[in-house]
Amino acid sequence: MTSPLRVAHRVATLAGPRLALFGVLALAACWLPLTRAGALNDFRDSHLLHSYEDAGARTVTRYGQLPLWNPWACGGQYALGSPQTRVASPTLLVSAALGARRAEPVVLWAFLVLGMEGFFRYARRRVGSAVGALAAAPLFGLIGFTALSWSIGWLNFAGFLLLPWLLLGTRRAARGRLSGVALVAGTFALLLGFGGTYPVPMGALFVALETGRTLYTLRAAGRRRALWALGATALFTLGACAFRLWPLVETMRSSPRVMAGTPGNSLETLARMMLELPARSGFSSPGNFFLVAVALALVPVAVALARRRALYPAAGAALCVWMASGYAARPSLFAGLRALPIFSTFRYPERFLLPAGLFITELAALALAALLVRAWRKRTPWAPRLAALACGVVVAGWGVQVHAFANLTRWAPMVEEPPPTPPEAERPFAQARGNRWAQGHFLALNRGSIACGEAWPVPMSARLRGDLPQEEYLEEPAAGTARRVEWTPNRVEVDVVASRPAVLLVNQNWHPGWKASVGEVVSRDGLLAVRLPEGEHRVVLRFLPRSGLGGALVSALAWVGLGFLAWRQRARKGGWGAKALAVSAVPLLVWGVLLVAWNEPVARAAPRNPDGSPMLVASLPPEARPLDVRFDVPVELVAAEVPSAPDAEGFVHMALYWRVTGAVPRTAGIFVHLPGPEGSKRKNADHAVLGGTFFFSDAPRDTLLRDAFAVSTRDWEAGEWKVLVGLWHAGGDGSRIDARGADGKPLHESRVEAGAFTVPPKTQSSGQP
Amino acid sequence: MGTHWRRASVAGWLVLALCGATAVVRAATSRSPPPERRLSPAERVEVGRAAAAEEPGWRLRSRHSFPGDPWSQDDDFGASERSWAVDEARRRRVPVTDVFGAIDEELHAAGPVAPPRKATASPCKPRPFYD
Repeated sequence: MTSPLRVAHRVATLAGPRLALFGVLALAACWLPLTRAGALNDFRDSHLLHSYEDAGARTVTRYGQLPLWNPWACGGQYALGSPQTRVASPTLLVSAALGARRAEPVVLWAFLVLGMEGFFRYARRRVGSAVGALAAAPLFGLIGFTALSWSIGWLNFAGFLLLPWLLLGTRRAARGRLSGVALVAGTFALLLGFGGTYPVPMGALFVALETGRTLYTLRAAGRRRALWALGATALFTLGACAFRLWPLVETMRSSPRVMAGTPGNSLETLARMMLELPARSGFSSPGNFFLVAVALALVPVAVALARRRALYPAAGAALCVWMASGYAARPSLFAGLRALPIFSTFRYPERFLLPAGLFITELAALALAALLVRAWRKRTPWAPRLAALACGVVVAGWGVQVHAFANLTRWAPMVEEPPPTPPEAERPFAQARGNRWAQGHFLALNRGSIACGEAWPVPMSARLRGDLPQEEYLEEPAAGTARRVEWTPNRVEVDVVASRPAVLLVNQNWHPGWKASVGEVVSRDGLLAVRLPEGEHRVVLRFLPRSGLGGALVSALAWVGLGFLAWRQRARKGGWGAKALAVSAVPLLVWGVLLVAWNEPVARAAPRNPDGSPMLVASLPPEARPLDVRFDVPVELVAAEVPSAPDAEGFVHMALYWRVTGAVPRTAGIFVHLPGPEGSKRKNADHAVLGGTFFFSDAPRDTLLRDAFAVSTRDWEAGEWKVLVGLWHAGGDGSRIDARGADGKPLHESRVEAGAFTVPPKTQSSGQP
Repeated sequence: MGTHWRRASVAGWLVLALCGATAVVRAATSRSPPPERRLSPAERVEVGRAAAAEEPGWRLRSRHSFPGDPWSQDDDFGASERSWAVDEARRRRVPVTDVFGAIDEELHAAGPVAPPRKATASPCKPRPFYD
């Protein structure tokens, strides 16, 4: 081995110097965010997501409580059940110590270092060269998307950087090492706690692939042992994640997120996202996922020099790019993924460029490793020079990667730091009407924002108000008085004097986790309420959610179980097998017992149309016009309600009554064509999702479904407008689905006339119909 | 591990710690310029009333932009209100937080707010389409 190579190898294998390098590079990349720490990020998503972290840190530091309930967002929401919050992660301690805004760039720095180190450890084993892994690690660790995520408030997406740790843990676990089990369980728990809406399911996907890759390389006996170990790993991971998984599953079952659309990216767009140097300002796709082109240039070298080892990462990168192209690819791998539970809520296929970046960087590390081996063997005189040149170019690539990262962090629209938040005693908490586009300003005022802009339908009461003289009051004012004694996020104390049985209303959303010292906690149209008997009461409301507290117990047990196994292994009393599997199953059994023994009301999903009306109806109203249309998929259009004219404001409120009788493809959507008087441009009210709530494929079967929607005819020409309805493959090839009318005959153009309305001529004074 | 490499290792850990400390100190001590001024009590009332006067127009526009979808209407209203608040704060050279504070005070002072204004928010029901 040549001397410089030996030195480089030694430096790469020493954790201290290696981490020093990563720390310096991360500091350079994060310098701008660190300089602007404390300022308010004015991007809409940042207002929402940052306010969650701010609320969590405030709950810990000001009120000395765990961040279980967040009263400042959406009229009150379960912090652990909201998928994008980061409050269940150890990083909350940094937010508590520094303040949430100042903590963000520090957490970003830490994640960059972790990402580079994780990649090094993962790639070193895969490519067999510490120097190659070290050289490539900053390329992955400083991938552009992390910078973009910070800029627009999605710090939780920094969790993608932990992907190599997951893969590393999987490989170790498969080889029977307990550290691997701990690594997988701990990383998943951290990612879930950190709001990893994409990193967790995508991580699970790649852990499954890594499992296959590892098992493939093992012999029969090793494979059997690995299967035991991986089984136990899966059970421990489930247990370790229960503290967040249980609240999330519970919340998403009562308020499922629906994601429609057919997003797609051409190869050219993907290439620009990944390879084009991001601009210093503005929001645009090029460079969002920047990975210096050097990494890609080394891919053919890896394939040529290390064909067998390059096969898996090359296939992985290709699969990721295919996935990232979304619906633009035919066939679409992303569409197939979306057919699976959880993955059905994925919105942006291009995020698969991140794991693609991981595999491309692995190939770059492999290419460097192969060149260095050739340099060491000195088979050709040019090999050492070529290896030195490649290493030099990659090191230069670090600079480009840091530069691109810094450019992307400039995109953050930072505005001045809000004035200091007044203490509770000086300005008691109250709900404001608020504004989801500016939520950060309301938190600074110690005001909750009932205006809510989450990506999922947060369970909210329409009775929340932002103009109340007091936040706790009696439903019937004549029944007595209510006076706040103490207010904290998870505990509210109110003195009530009731001259007759009364209902105390709290201007926050109801959740089954709320318990009262007196009376019975009930939901009043989704508002938190306590039914009280007559008399004087000090009502103490506490938020003690079964899923959060029970989940934490299950997670603690999982770690105790893992500790027990570690002790047994150290004492050489056992390895992997049925006993280990049994130990790992104990927390899950406890979970089952808690589910059965700890009774808590269950919040049920109440499917509603966008206008708030119920979607499930028992029978047709008399004004509905029967249609009895049957489609070539098991869907019936039973009836329709179309008024004869717009209302006073020019709106036409319509409803279609559907019945689903069997399995329907997810692509099936509704088209509503509105042809008007001659010469007018045709309007439409297409919608692939029934009432904004169900795809036909997920809709309840054999039930009457009321699908309400409206159009504004303010600028429409006067005259008669027809309403023609049919089904089409909205997420597929765009073709219409054939249909037959009540008489059994095929419908012309596969659509039925559901009704018609007449837009009157506009009056000259108002311009209104 | 030889002494030379041990020293290198210790130095590396020290550099990492120094980087971490630099990040923490930099984040903890960065300062943005303080606001030029704050809204006076009289200005707060004025700003609150001005926003209240604008509200019916924003609401009407939102209703026609998103017919039959109250959450989207409220969301669109919020965007109009935010844009106005930012402009107002810039014009008066005060923090945006002050403008939103003035709007909130006006709503609380006005008592139960009646249509076409609203002191409520439609339950969150995000649209399923983004592309």
